[in-house]
Amino acid sequence: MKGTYLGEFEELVMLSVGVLHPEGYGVAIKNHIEKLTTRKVTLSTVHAALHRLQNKGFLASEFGEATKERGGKRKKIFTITIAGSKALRASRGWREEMWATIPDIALG
Amino acid sequence: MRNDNQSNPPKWASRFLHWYCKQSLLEEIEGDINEEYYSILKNSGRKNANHYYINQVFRFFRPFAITALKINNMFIHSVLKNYLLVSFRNLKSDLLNTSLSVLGLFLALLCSMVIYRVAQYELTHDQFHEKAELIYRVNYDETKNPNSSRRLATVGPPLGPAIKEFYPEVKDAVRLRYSRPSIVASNDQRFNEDGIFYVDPSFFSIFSFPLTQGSIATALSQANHVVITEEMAIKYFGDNNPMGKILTFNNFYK
Repeated sequence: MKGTYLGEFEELVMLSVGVLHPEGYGVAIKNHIEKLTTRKVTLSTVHAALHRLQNKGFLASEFGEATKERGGKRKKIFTITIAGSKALRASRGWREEMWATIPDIALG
Repeated sequence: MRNDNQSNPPKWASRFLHWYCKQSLLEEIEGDINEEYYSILKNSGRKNANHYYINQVFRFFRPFAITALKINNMFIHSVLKNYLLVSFRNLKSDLLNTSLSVLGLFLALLCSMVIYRVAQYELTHDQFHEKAELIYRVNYDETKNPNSSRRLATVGPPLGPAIKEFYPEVKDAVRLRYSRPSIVASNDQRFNEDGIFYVDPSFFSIFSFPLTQGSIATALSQANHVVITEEMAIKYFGDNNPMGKILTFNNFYK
């Protein structure tokens, strides 16, 4: 995937990581997006997106604490990298520019 | 149902996950699934939780999470990866079409395999006879007769010796006459037997059926001789030597 275009879902996942900072991990992100968009989200898609973003260099990860609920497994906490935040800001910039100049008529 | 306060996810699903999942991702994935599992367990009970767990284990069976298999040949590896990618995309974008195509391919393959096997079976039937290439069967065909369109698998008994006499190319001939199922009896056992044939003594010179006991020269030298399979010998005479014993056949000595 060339360029800095973020997919719609990837952007949601990245923003959730930011909102939940410093507790952004799989299950929490999934619940957050589900609550926000009132759409069902599967854990595997969230994980796939997290890893895609990590491969692109937009997210960094490190291991957090293990809990009994997780059967003793640690959770992976994600954080936004500098490159990631740049990409987010760029995307936001384009959208805000377009929102600012879109005439009301076009929105029906 | 279990009496434990805390039940555990289905073991087999967990084993499957451990098998396919990349080691580097296993801990976080398993941890996340467990976390949701236990919360569903608390809220909706064991059955729902188990269903959820199994569902998730299969949902995670995606390229990013699967252990990388070692293929040393870079070329083959990339080509395979590309083919897989293209086929998955086709499947995703057009499930019906792709599955129909796959089904069609499968059926085509199945049909060709069946046809091959049937042809093979027909062509290699009874090839164990040494002289198989030289053995011919004489049938009866009346279709050249304008009044009849009969074809028979049998011919009259005189043909056997007659064809040998008239055609020097015919080295030997044997006739087989099917006998209807009959009661065969020894001193101790009686059974209804099918597969009884009257044959000419030249039977063993033409067909390759090895004799466990006795010799080809004497096996059918007289009209009341009979040759039976080893199975039959055990069935009628047990452990005793069947040679020289008598089997009656429809109560006639034959």
